[in-house]
Amino acid sequence: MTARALAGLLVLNAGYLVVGSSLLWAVRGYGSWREWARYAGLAYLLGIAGLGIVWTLMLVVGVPMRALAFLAGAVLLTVLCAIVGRARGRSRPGPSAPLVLTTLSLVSAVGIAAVGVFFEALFRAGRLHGLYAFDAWSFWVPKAKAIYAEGELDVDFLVQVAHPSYPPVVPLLDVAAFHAMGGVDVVTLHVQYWFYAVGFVAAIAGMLLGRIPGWILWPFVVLVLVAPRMSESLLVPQADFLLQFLVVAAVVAAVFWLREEAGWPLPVLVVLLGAAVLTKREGLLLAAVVFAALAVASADRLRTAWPKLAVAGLAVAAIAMPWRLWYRDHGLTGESPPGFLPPLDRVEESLRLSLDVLLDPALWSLLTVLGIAAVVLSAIWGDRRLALFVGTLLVLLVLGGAWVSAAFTDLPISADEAVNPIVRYTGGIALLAGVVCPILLAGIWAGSRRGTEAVP
Amino acid sequence: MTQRRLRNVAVAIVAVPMLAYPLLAVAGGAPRFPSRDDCVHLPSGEEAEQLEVVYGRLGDPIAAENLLAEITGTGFVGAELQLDDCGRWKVSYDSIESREQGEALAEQVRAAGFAARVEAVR
Repeated sequence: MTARALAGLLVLNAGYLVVGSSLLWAVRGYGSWREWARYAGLAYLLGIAGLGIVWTLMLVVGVPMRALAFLAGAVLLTVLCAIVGRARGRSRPGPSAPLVLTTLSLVSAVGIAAVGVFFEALFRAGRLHGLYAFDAWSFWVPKAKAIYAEGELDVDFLVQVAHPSYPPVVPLLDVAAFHAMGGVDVVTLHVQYWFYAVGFVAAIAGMLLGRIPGWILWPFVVLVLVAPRMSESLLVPQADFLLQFLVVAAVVAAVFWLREEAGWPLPVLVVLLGAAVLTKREGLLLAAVVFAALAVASADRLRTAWPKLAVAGLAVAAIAMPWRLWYRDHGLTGESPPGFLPPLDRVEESLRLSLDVLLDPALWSLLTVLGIAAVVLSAIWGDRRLALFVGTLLVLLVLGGAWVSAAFTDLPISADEAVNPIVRYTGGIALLAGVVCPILLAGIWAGSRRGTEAVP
Repeated sequence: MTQRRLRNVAVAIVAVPMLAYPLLAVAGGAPRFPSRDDCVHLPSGEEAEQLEVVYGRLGDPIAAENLLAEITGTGFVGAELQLDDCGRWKVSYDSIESREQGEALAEQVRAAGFAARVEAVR
């Protein structure tokens, strides 16, 4: 609300960028300062993810989560990354080669301008936004207030709010924002979610620019941002979008890993999915789906790829474990459905609901339809491994959404967001479709120009 | 087009709309930055107005709890701790029937060495 609160958030998010930059430097290094700038969005997301994991572990082991503890966690992670980076022989970024532009680069300029103006407008909307979203004021933000006030999650308090076993990354990030703002400013808190959205778009654009043509990339970035459900909900202080940002960025890292670009995408994927499983209970499902799709797409490299995937999967499971042990140890329940196999009478209806929501243009405009079309076209003319990965991912995600609706028998089978999370869940699929579309289409484009198998 | 001209055009394409939008937005007046005092409402004198006596607003919940304990320990019972809309913890007493009653209580509390002010509840 105040200028001081905004300045505090700016410093906090610069801090996330610094921590994430050190993490990315440790796992991949930077060839030049321009490369650092290109990967700054990914570094920012890694900063959020890395600190989300560290702060959750600190909360679970009983560290009083006051301002100093948040700072100590950030310093600890940065120093650890610096030591690992040094040990791995990472050097300082060197000078950048001159930037060469073509006439088509102007399309990227138009895209950057459109996205920039979009975020300026979104900032205006967020700066004085009231806390109206039901889940936000009923349990996400109250949990953050409780940690801010007490320095811990008090079980007596948790049992009085909805979903006491939901993982704590979002409340912890909110608490860090409260400390940065100088108080529990639930209005300016919306600007923190604006930073997440900016960071995500910067991450995706930075990872893909240079790999796919700007004239294919930017229209999809704009299309994602103006999709009805996206633009109206990006600032809601809930876990849904942050979870989706982490998972979609992890999927892009997975694409790079599938192309055998280098070793760095897998550790990046582990950190992003590790944070995802501590952000929302759906994170477990989404992480499992990403690993399953990766396993299917790399089935022909069983001996080399699968052991690495198994190690990465175990690492994500290990990150997920402490919070689950903590809440079970404190007698909390509620993260799992009554049974793994849903009642048969709910399966067909849930699947139909999942598909209806997926293909609803009033929610996602053309994103999901274009995503499906891009997979089909890529399977025919593009990179088939990539098409297999994305296709498997989309199918499993839709089935996962249907399973959630069917297995949690207390959920009515309805697209009403107040009673069933399917719309929020499917938002992740739409976001994913919008991001993978340009990758798949660029593969077809590159293949058609070279007459050989395409690369993303 | 030369590299230099291309670069200039690209910079203009990005910069012009990104500068124009905020300039147009502030053309009607500078943006308002509400302060935390926006949550402090002095009584307007209207008859139906609900009043309270506020003993303090603090950013730190522990300090606010301590203030509440001190006030209560001094004998001013019935005070409560609440988070106000501007993110500060408010120690206040809201069972006030009239402005006169509120002013009398505030004076007693001030005489005991604490801060106190009658405010309107909104």
